[in-house]
Amino acid sequence: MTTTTLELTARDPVVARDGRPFGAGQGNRMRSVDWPLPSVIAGSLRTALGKAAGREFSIATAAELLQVSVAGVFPTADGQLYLPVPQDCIVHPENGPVRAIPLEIDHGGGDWPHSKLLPVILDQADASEEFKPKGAPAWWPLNKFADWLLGNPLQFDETFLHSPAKEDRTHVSLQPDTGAAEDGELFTTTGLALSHLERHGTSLEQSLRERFAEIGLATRVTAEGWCAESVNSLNGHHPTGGERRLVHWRSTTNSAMWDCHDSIRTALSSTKGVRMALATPAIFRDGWKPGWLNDDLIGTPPGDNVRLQLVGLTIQRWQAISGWSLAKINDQGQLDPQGRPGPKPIRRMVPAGGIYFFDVVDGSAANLANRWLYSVSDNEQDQRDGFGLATWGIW
Amino acid sequence: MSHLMAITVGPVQEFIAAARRTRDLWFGSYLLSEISKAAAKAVQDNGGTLIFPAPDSPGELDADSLLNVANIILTELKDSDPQVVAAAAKNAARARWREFADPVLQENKSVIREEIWHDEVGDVIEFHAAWVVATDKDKYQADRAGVMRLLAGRKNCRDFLPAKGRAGVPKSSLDGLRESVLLPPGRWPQHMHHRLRVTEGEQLDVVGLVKRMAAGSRPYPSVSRVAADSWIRGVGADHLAELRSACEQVGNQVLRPLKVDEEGHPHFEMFPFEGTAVFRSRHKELCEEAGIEMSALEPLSGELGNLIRNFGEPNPYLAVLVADGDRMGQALSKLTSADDHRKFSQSLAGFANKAKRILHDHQGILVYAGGDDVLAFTPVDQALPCARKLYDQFSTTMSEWSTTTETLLTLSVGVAIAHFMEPLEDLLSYGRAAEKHAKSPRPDDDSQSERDGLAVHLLKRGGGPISVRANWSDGLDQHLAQLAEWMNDRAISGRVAYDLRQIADLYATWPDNFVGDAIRRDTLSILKGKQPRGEQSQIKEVKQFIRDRVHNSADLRRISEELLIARQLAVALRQTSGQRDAEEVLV
Repeated sequence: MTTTTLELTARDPVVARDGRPFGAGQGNRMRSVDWPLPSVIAGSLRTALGKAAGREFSIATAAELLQVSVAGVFPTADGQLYLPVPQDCIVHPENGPVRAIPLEIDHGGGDWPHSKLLPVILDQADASEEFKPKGAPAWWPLNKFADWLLGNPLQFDETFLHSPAKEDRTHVSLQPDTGAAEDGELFTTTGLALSHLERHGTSLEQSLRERFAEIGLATRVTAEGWCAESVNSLNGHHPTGGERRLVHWRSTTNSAMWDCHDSIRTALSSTKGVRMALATPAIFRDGWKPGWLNDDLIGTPPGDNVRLQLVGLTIQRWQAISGWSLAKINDQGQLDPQGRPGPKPIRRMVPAGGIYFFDVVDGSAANLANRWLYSVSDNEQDQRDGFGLATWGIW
Repeated sequence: MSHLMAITVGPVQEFIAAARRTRDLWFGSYLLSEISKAAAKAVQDNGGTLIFPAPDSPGELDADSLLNVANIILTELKDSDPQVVAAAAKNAARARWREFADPVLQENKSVIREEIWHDEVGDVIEFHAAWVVATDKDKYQADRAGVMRLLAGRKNCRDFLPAKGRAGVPKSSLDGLRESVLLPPGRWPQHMHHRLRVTEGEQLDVVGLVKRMAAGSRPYPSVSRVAADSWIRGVGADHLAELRSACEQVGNQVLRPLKVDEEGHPHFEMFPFEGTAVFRSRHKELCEEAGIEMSALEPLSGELGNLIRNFGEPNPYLAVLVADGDRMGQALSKLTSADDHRKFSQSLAGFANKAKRILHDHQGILVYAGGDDVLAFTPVDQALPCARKLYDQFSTTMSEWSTTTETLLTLSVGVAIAHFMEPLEDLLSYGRAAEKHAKSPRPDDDSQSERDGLAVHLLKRGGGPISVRANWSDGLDQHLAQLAEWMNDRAISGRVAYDLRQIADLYATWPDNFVGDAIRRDTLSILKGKQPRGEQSQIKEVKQFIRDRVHNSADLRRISEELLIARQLAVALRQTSGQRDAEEVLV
């Protein structure tokens, strides 16, 4: 198994559609999600590998390509990897970012989905007066994210970045003889501008160069055999996302930005409280609850041996994911020569940024540092597709 | 032991935001209100004394009552176990949803994939509850703040079940969150195509279908009817008589008549049909949806042609109104007792009731009014008077509370003027953007204060958005009405706005203390050059207006934007007076 890191450069705005039908006779307006889903990148990469190796896309080849693990994609800027805003961060209009944590409430309760869960809320001191929280920047540089995971104080500055701008393009079909627009052939596509992200806290008076950070996109791939060879030699444009928009793919040797910071490694080795932050949306067998937790909410994350007890979580509402299979699939969505290409079954994800708080029940959390940005999703294919990549911290 | 309990009911997105037709939107709001109401009633029936909503007569919480309930409930519990009450409320909410959903399945079996329906229908309602021990009456403020904080923590734990998906099934066109429950249209019985009113390729999940089909087919006025209203009033009941009978002739399978009784929209009585009837460009689509030939519309198009010759084409723009109370959270946090909070809730409910009356008085449709939120559509000529009326009504209704809580309670209103053919989702987002602007001035909005604002956004097809914002006390609505009147009387030419904008750009780099005189002279010269007609007194007023308001480039730019918006108002006003050449005011 070889692990390689890839640098992607978006040449065109990337189309990352939501699940709504779009196309001839289905809808003429496309809607975009805020960031490409892991499966979009994984699918594009695997196709690129197959093409680069000159393979026919038979069921056998498809099965081999599905074994390739893809992690990503994340923005990079100023030599750092960026991770999505953690949900336990609440922004006070004056005091800036404050933390929500699981708190024992002795004088109240709620209809929590499990009796062992505690509410994840602001401390009484932080919530002394009701306030309307402000929005937090969408992408955090890894060094500041590590500070957050360690419980260190944090303020936002211009190294924090916002979500990509969405670019709408209206397309028309022209009648060749008259040059006039064909009736009913108008449609609109929406793409994500992934070459630059707006910096936090800048104003319109500043120059574009000051206001926007040029970003790259990073992916980590683990493969073997001919797939691994293909990855290493990857250096070219390939369509990514919808409408065959182009992204340049190139393997690099810069894998340091994917490693866990030493400060976190140290903290994890002696902590009794572990915080799991989802860097990509996660797909769990039981919806909000990871399948590796038993009925008492105790379990061990995939690839590790520490026993953890879930005590609280703060997540946004589920997001839907489906997609379109070009390969033949059966009703359950699995590859099947008797099946048909078409819409994949819909599934629900815990959005990126979700935070799960654990107590260490048994063992040490030290090894979690080696599981930095590895998947905690339940299904193996989802793990390989990059759903539920987790970062680890303390609380 | 006493408790204070807070509950939220959802999902909001599927019920309110995801919509293609106004009916989807209105029914989704209504559905959410009914479900919340059922939960509130269950709380009451299980020993709770409601604070929000605060019904003041029995029967207000019954199904289908007129009370519009927001999706958040606050209640006192004397001795009841909050777990038990919460469970009862959750069941009631789910049961109410099924009361709407189950008949839709029965009545439309021929087009539904039942296995998908059954997988989806039980997993729609979202429910979150939190409670605190209520220490004593004097601690209400702290207890309320505590329970809301805890509820926020509960909502942070957005538990959900995994989806039950199937391959090969398209997703909902409205939001893509669930799979479609519809069989492929090729397998539908013929009559179902018109009943369902789906466009080609439109897919609906369980929520989308229930919103479209539940509670009989109460036809709800669409945006086209609101847009056409200025023209309709201009034509007048007498001249519309022939057109009305032609519409009746075409049959109610093609043109559904609107309900114009007290429960419906009596102000649309003059022409109780869909607006698409009077927009010739929509006739082709109308025929396709109904499955008839264009020739079947002949009596209608003939009559319409006559009216257009005499009164011009109806203007296709309408206004989306989105309003929201200012500083409500602040005021709530200052209430010191549950009883005060109840009275506060009742005041808000009173406002919501009056809002409906106001919207109907202004020829509009109220999609939603609950608490301090309003969402409505009005014809362009009525938008600003309606907004002002809502503002005044809110201030009056809440004035006593402004004093008690020492918080000035006002209503910020966003008005977005857009083409009726824009997707409903876009009309809503324009309205919300206008409301957001009404609440927070932008960097260009010099010396304006937060909140207490009116923002008017014009989104013309084939042009960038024009936006103006002011605090209500600045009288923006009156200015715009004045400008529109001057334009109608030809005291200002409609075309002048772009020329003024050019002048403004020319002077943009001049230092402020030099520019005033020069820019005013140039402006007046441009206005004169367009050969204004109209009364001498008006022309003098216009000149005075320029002298008073134009001091620099930014002022002039602002006026050019106001003029562009006023043009649109002027066109609508001309239509209401039956003038054929409404568009000429633009020349």
